[in-house]
Amino acid sequence: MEVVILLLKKQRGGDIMNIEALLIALVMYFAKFCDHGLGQPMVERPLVLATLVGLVLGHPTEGVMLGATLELIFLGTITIGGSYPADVITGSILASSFVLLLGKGPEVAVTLAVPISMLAVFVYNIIKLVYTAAVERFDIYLEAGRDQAFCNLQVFLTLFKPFVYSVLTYFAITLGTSVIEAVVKSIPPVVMQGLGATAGVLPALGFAILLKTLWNANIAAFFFIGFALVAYLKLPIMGVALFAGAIAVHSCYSDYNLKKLIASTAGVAKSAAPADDKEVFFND
Amino acid sequence: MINNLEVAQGEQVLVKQSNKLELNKEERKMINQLFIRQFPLMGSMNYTRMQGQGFAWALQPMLKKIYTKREDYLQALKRNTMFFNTTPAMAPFIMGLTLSMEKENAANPDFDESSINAVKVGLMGPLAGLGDSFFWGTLRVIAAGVGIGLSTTGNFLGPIMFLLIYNIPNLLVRYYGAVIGYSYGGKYITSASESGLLQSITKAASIMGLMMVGAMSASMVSFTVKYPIVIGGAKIVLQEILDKLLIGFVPLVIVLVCFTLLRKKVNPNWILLGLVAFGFGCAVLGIL
Repeated sequence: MEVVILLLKKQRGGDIMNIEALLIALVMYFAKFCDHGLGQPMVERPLVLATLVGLVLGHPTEGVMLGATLELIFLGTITIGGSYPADVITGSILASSFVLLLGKGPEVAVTLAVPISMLAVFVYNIIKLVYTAAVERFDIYLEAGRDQAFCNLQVFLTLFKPFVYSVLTYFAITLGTSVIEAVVKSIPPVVMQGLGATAGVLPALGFAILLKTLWNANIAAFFFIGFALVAYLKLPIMGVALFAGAIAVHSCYSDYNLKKLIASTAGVAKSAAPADDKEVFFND
Repeated sequence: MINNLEVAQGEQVLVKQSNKLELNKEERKMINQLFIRQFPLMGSMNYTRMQGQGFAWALQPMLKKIYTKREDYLQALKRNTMFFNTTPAMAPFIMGLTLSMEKENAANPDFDESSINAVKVGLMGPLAGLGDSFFWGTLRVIAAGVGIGLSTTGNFLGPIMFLLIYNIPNLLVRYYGAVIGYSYGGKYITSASESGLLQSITKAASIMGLMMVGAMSASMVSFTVKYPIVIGGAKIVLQEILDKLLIGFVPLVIVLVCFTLLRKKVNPNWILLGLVAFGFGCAVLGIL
């Protein structure tokens, strides 16, 4: 497959790039559609996207491995509340495409994915502004009793957003690949080394973002338990998940039972029957 | 004693309600249709109503069936385009609940319409808290952990397992969320929220999430100090000393420093730049 594409490239120059760009644009459409049109089924995560890019470019194994690298970098970049800290989808599709087209290593993918994903947020913000203007249209349709027009607009907007991205992707690949190649070529080796080191520590930010959403002084200890289970007991991730699940279920029951107990003793105290205290305790 | 009686009565009510899970054929059809239509919830995501239009679009055919008068139907459709935002996987539950309330509204002229949006607004916050910590914080991290582990060798099972581990619970919660929301109705859910059951579940999900993040911090942040120190002819490898102190010491410190900065409301992009500078610094100095 690889050889065929290389040969084609030599013979027909620009044409093959067009086909590849179209295929990547299709992957982009699919990814963006899954993101907001299918309720984020994780198809839109780097692990799957880089695999898809690898498949359409004829480098399936490299695609999967790139996916693992990028997923790790973006593990903590999540889209809670529909606001993007970084456009993971655009970053990972474009970066893995450039890397596979130019035959570079995963550390280059990281270098490209992070800045691209940060830049692409601007595109999303503009689209969201346009979509906010469409709210008025929705209201006008409903006011006029045109329910079918309302539904059509919702369907149109759902299908339109991925289209914008796939057009941008097509041009980014056809026009940008040679630029990216020149940029990557001019990077000195010490910078590549630095990028490798950066790739190792970048996931830390992702974990910190997750920590911030989960952190509560009462339960913070569990973070360190999870850490120790891996650092010292060398448990694989599924093993930790089993411990975590069991502890979570136990905590949920005991926490809720405690709340019920407090509620019931408060009730007993109100009805002023101290003799019943014991009974309530045992019955609960 | 009085309390016990009340509890017993409450449990009886619960048993009665759980029998309602058996939907008739038409209701089953309606839930199936809702399950299909809930997917593009965020299709027209915008700043002012967030998922509002997507929510109304999901309910539209059912509302048309529920209300016999066209005016009432349009009114209901309009009502459901109001501001809405929650974890997508939790939305079908609220949709099912809304449908049962809309049905009640159509049948009972005394029904307070404003309670429908009140219940929606009241539930989307706590359910987003639960959904975000479970789906984003826990389930995705587990799925990614397994997926990344398999994928580093280029194994196709990696992305496939990643999708399966996440989506089987995801789709089950969506489908049965709609069923439970529809059949239990608003009262039971509100009481679950008031009695603190919802908070207990959220806390449990956060515990699980924290443990997973801790585990990932240990296994997936890599930083090995290669820098050898020579003291009196003896070569001391710094990493060995660090490991004796605490295995994974540097990754843990980096994660905690990032976390502390985030809590101090430092822009994540600055932290990112800081990490890049740190990585470069270490590479230039030959520490890594």
